[in-house]
Amino acid sequence: MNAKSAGVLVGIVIGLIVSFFAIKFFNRDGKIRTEYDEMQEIIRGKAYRIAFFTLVIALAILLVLDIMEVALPMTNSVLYFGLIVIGIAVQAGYSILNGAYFGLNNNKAKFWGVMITVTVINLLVSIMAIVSGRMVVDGKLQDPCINLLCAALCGVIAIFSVIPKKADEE
Amino acid sequence: MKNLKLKAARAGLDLSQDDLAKRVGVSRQTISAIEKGDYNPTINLCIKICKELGKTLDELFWQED
Repeated sequence: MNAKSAGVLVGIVIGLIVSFFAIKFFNRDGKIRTEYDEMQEIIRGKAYRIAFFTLVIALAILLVLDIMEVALPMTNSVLYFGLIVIGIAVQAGYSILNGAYFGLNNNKAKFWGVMITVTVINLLVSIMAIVSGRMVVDGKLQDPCINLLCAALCGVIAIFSVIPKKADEE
Repeated sequence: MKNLKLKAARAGLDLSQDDLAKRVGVSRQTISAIEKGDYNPTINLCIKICKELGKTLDELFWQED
């Protein structure tokens, strides 16, 4: 394991710890577990199912590309993270549109604040990477692209969570 | 099919969807979906709603032919 790999591993562990406390912060009652009602549970189940099949299709496409020996213009890290983003985006998008993303004990204002903060931080890191020429090397998207993907995901979730939707109609 | 009886009973007690949702422990979107006929609640939720609105299951959820 080299220094870069160790740094990434430490970053992931710190991210998981921060996420654990962020969930407590998001919930009004300070509980780790977000509570959903019966309709939300059903919608979220559908959302996970759609996200699962979306990922299966995405992986099948990647498999075909691999068999055809098509080289993708990105590092493996960016590719794997991109797949994670696709899965989360589909699950979150479907849940948000159907009023099942926020649980009964979630604090929407805090959630929105954290998502915007994460978006801005990742966007700044991405801009710095673009300016210093670390985003694309030899025609391939490099690891800083993960920050851009993260900013896009959090930004879209934050915007979607505040725009009016059919499920919100009285 | 829209549940106008539920909507009328709720409005009769001057409760908003959010008020009723908090009293029965669900999201406002769920009450909205039940009133619009987009979601069929479980019997447990039906009973909770009936108790809060002082109505019977027949009065709120029985569909006339």
